[in-house]
Amino acid sequence: MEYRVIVPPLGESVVEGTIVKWLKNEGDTVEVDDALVEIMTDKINIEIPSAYAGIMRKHLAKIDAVVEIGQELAIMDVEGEVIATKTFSTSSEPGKEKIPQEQKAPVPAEEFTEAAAHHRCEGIHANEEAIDDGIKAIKSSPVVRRLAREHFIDLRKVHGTGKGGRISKNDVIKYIDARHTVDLVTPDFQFPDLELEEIIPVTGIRKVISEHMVKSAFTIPHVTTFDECDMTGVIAWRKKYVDKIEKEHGVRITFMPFIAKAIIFAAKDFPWINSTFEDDNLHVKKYFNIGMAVARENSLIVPVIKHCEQKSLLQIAKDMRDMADKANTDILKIEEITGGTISITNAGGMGALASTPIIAKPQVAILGVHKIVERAVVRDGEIVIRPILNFGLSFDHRVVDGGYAVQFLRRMIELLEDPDSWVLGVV
Amino acid sequence: MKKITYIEAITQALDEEMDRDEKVFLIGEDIGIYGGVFKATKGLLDKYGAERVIDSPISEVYIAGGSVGAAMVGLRPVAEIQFADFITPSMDQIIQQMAKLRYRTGGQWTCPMTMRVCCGADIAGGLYHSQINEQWFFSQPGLIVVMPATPYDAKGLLKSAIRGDDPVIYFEHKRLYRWIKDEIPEDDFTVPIGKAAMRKEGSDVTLVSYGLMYHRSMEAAVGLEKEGISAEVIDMRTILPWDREMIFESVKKTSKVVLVQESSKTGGVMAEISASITEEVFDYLDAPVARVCGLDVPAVPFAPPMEHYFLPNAEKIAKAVKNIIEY
Repeated sequence: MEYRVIVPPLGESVVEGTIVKWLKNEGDTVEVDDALVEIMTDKINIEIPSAYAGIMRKHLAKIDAVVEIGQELAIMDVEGEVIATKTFSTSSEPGKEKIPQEQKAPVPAEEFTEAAAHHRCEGIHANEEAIDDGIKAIKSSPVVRRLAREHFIDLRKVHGTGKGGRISKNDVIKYIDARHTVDLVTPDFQFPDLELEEIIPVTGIRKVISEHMVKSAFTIPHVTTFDECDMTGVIAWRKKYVDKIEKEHGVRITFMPFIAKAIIFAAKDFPWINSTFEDDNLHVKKYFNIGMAVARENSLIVPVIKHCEQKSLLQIAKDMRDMADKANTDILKIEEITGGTISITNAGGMGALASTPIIAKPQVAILGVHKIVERAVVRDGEIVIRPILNFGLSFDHRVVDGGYAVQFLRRMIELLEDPDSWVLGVV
Repeated sequence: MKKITYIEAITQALDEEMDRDEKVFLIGEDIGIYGGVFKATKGLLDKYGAERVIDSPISEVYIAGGSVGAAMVGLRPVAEIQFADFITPSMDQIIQQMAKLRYRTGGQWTCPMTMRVCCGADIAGGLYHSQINEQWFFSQPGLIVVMPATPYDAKGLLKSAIRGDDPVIYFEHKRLYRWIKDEIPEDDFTVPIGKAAMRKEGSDVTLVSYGLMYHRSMEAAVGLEKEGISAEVIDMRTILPWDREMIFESVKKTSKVVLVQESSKTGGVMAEISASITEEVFDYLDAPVARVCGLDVPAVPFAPPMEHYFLPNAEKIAKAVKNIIEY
């Protein structure tokens, strides 16, 4: 049989890779799990393993060619049937991890795929042909025929209790109610080696994230302080200028550059917030490299905007957009994701009202930004509606005291609530 | 609240409407001095005088035609046809004038009149005092046809009929006159034209009827309940235009329907409703639409056993229900 090797999923948000070298040349003998080819992605180099034993017949891509996920890479001659299952895994560069055995348990091809397709598409429902045949075979009333079509029922399977075994509406309803139970007792099909869970190896970027999280969460005593910010001023400012600025400079200023600026101004009075804690020393930074968490499909990356203290609101907005674009297209360089002095994470875009973010070690603080919600608040003894943003500031309690962090956050919020006092001078 | 009979409800409605609006007047045979053969207009001559309670000659065509003319010049006649059996002489005026006036004048003229028609069997009235012929009027667009089954509806529908701007044939069933009593509010109220009443909710079968047959259907439903069959009972109240929505929704729920009508089966109101059900909610039916109707004979027979043989009753209705329940 012919087995066509395709580019498997290469990890979070990676859509393509470049062929570095062929590890099996044309004519080589291949064993199961042998690495066939090495592919480089923006993140990592991956060796693609073979799911079958056989002979490498032909390479379909040359070295340095850019290949997309799902593209055919090579043709192999293998013994026996080939099935199109997706039991891909990627091994990371240093560890050379093996594909876990349970992931590629051999399965009887047709039986499995047919059963799986049936289950996926139709569950316990009858197919169209069976429904039609059932309706033709059984004399039934309009409502019974309608229910048969709506609920995918083969009427030949329904027990009729009417005159002469006629199927009534109630018989169909009883059948629908009982169908799940009935089908559990005598299933139409059975999965071979039924698994009750799917095992996904934590490798690559996911593993790196995992290790960082553990290190940070269990070495840094985290405390999170919450405070709320009235965003009326910033919203009004944006309303007034944002379209104009976008027209002139091609960048739409979001709330995040304001928050970055407010951090910088507030940290003038509370400099320890912007620091790293390394080797028993607190490195208080005189510059601001602000990490901005960007959520991606199944992972997260934190590009760093360098020297924000030297940049205008507009420039920060531009840099943020560029970094987000780079993150989404996976072209961030290593220096663009390291060297942060403080981080911001915005869970508000997805709707969060509060969170306790985990600090990016060795930094000592991370600011959680949340959804702006209109709330009833009291101003001058009156209840008024104001757009409120909850901030959650997590800080390293080994080096930063509670009072210090709370005051920093309050100062930052005071600045944000009165942007006119500072923003025009820096745009 | 006071318990009153069906005929007292009619008298009250006439009295209150005449008191409310001086344009309302009554015309009919023996309605003045005699107070009506069933006493529906008793006392009204003394109260409102002979100009507003008019004893007509024995001429149904005059009662109908005179009323149409009065309605055209702005009055609100309430005519009485002593027995539905004798309505045929007035048919020309009803069909050609009353029903068509608004239509043929492009809405410039209306015919705001009510024709009370005393109808129905089950009183051993014989061939010419037992007829019920709502189907003749049901098939004539331009008319409104109502048939109340309770004192509350008798009063409320009569008031709506008198106040409306279109001609209403108001069938009152003589078997119900003194049989049914209701507690009805003392304050002014009306019952909307075109709205049926859901008298009892059920899940297995829908019973649709009006007039005396509503009471027979309810009697059947109560009996069936004891046998574990849950019947939904709809009293149509207005026959034209009938409440399609309520009937269709009920049939969609129960998927089975028995239509009950006192008059002869062929060409009756229930034939139309049956056809509409199969047109509109066919996909919800779980059994054929069933009808329980009067027999297709020229008139209601006189001999009491034969009259009962002719008429639908609770037993016949229950049998029809069981037949389609088992279907």
